[in-house]
Amino acid sequence: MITKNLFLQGIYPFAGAGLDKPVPIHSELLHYVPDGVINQTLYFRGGNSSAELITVVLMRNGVPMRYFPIGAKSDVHVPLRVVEDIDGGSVIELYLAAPDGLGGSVVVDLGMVEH
Amino acid sequence: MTGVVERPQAKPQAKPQAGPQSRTGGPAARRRLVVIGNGMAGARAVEEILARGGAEQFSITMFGDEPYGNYNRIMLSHVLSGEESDADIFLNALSWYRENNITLHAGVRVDRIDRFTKYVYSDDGRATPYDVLIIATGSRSHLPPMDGLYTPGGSIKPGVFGFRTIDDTRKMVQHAQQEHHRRVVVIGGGLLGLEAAYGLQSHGIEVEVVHSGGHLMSAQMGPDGGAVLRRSVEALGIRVHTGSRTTAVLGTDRVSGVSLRDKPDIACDMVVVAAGIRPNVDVAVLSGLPVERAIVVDDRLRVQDEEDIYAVGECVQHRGEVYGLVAPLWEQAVVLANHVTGADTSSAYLGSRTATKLKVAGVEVASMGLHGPELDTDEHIVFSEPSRGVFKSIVVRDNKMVGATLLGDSRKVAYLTQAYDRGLPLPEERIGLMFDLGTPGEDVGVAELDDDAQVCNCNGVSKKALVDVVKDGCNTVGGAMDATRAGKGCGSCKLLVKQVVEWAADGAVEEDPAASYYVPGIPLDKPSLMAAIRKQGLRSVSQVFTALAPGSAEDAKSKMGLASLLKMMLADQYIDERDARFINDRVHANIQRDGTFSVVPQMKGGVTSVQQLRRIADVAEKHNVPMIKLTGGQRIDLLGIPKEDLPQVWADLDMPSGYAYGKSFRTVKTCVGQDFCRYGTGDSTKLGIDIESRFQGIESPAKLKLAVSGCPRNCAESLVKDVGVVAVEGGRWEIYVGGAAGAHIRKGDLLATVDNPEAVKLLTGRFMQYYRERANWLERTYAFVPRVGIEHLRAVIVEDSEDLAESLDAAMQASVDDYVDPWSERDDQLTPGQFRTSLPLTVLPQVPVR
Repeated sequence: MITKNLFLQGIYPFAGAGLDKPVPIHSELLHYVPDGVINQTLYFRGGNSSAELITVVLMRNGVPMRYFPIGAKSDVHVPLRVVEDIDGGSVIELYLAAPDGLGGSVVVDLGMVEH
Repeated sequence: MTGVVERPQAKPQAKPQAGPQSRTGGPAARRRLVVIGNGMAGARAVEEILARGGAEQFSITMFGDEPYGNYNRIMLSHVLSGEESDADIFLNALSWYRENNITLHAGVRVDRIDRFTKYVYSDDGRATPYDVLIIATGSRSHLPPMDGLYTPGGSIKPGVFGFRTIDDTRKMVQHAQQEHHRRVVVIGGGLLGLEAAYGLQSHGIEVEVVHSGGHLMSAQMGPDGGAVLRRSVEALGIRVHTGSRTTAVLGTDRVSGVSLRDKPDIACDMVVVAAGIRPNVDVAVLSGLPVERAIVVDDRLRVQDEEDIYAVGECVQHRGEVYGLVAPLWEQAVVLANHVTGADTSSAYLGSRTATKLKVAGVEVASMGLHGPELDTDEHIVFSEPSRGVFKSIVVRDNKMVGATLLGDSRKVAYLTQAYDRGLPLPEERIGLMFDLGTPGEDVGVAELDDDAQVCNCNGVSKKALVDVVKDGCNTVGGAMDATRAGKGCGSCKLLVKQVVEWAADGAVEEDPAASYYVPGIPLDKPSLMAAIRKQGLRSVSQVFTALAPGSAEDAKSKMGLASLLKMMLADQYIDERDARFINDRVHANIQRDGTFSVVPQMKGGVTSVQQLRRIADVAEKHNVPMIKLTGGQRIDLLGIPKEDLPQVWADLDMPSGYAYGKSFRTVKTCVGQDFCRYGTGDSTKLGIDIESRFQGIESPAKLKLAVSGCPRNCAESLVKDVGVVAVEGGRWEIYVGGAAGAHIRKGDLLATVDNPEAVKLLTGRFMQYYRERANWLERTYAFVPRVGIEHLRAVIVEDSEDLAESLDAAMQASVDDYVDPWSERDDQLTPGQFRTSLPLTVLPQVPVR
């Protein structure tokens, strides 16, 4: 089995549109799984510079797959103990939900493998 | 989450757990080692532990989900294609477990581990305590989500198969051999899918491969290599659809086809899903062990944060990697055994650089590392010759090889694997990497291999291991293979093993003599063995061992073959020793899977009478015979007779034996023939009865099944018998030899066309005698006839070109004259206990109910 490691990562400024309204963080945080390949997400790490709770949402084909809440001026590391297969042709994307009008920076690092 | 909560508990629990071990700790007290999984990883880990003195340290218990011993999963594709029988792929027989005092629970699934009290709970209700636990649960077929895969009841739809276990393989073969099953779709064009496609094609059904990637074997090679492979695969007659996702399996109660995304449906009656494997981690997840993609282990193969639980094989994630090949497994087993036994506590597993070297669907494929350039500075060297099916590609980064793909020509594989494994600097002349242009030839290629370069990937045998065996005095290729297990896996490395042995023996390599022995225990081929027996006047099996075996050692595996040979050569001069016989020949009945026997009375040519039928019915009733079955050889089979009842059954029947059990002449199947059939041109029934009467009970190297048909319509299936006779117009008879319709299918070759039944009997006997004298032990006529050649047989048997006819006829006549019905010995047992049950005879008194 030959596998490849992939990451969606970086530090991005954000502007909140409401805690119940996830919006894309940045166009770089999008991954298209090629046909004939199986993708698995292994962990998420995140940091939040603002003074409010924010939530990073892992989306598969536009549907939320996991939620990662990050506290005010805090960080999380979530090893995804239950790993699912994401089939070729799917789109994986990170969204962010934050209180309306809230500004700050978010640090994201999503680790995946493909084989 | 579970890990965070439970981890603090684990530590205080761990210490008192160590207590009982030391309290019981006399020198005789052995710790309890429990292994979950009896596959290649579990059994290999135990072998490595035993090799390090583990038998003294541990009492070992193994759990296996499958109800078998341990087998070589790599060989399943050979079983599927019929190249090997499933009996040949077992690695450790059940006796191995006994000899090593291992308790094996086969067919028992472990449900849960209690890592605090250190118990393993299995689905047979057992709770097994452990001191050290090894998890080797391996992986299972991945069934990607698609519609119609399951029946409404939740089971997999009939006609859909995974390709992972021996049961999968058996069911696939069974399904594929049914006449109305003509088309199969294999989902997945990777290694496994192509193997399945190739194997199924050998059963003569139409195969189509549906692969979701853009090219075949997309995990192992780039698009260009995939295109060349596709050409080679299509040349075999297998249709390939790439870039096609299967969205549904069609059919209500059984498979009728598959539908694809964006492409027309494919009709089929069988679907094989070979879309990869997934680690079996259910037990670990349920038991709260750390599982990511698989069970997380450290460099000692210990499960993360666990003192006494190890994991090995495909269910393991080590440094983020999960492996699906055998080579990493062997490396892991060594490290694990070093730690478990304390043989080398500094040993560490640092991950494997995997190289695949296989014959996929008859095409040699080798692949390692990257399959294309990734950085701008990567060099990519490609040679492609699609018409010959050859493709070679090498990726070089910083003057080091980081990947290679070879298709159709793997002569440079050994060198390239080594260059990849060690990151050796490459020659300036890159073309030398691919071809032997001005670079050293193949032999030197072996010489330049490093000592620890792996020769056999399946069994993890290094060049040094082979060289050491040769230095210790083994100078045959077969001997070196036996000693190291090299070449005993998938077999793709046999050529390299041979080269290494030849190189190490420095020209002193010997032909493997054992290959030509008639029986393994006596170092003579058949003609020399027969000559020696005649010259020394040997008359029994034990005399042969005394006179001819090295050190006069008796060899159990050789006895049956020798007994048959001596009986054939000596007729009434033969001294019969019962211990030389196989159980069937000792009790003259066919042993069945439950240890009972089947009794088949003689029914010459399939013709019976009212009296015979009545008597058989009476006997069946008297003895409560559980099953009465008409056989393919036109006889009546009474199944399920206990051994101790055999003499009484024979006495009640009072008929001669039908020889349904031995390596001997068995039966002559006939059609109705002249008198009743409107088409019959010859009296096949009479001739069949005559032949059966003449040759009844004649020993031969393997069983002989005959038939006589009264016309070319062949109702008796004469063309697929060891000897088949067909009456043709004008009162003439055609004699066919070497046909088969069992595990192998072969139409017999025409030996001769003769004018009268007497000539048929004469030539049949002469052919049988020639076969008895020349064939190898257990070699059926369908192998013997093509090996010797039908032209040669015609010359010797029909035209008597070697002046043998007279002696062949005389020898056969002597055997015929010596005929005694073995069932007549029922009143006069030849050995004490011959018909005693092997089960305990006394019924134990019932425990009184309180």
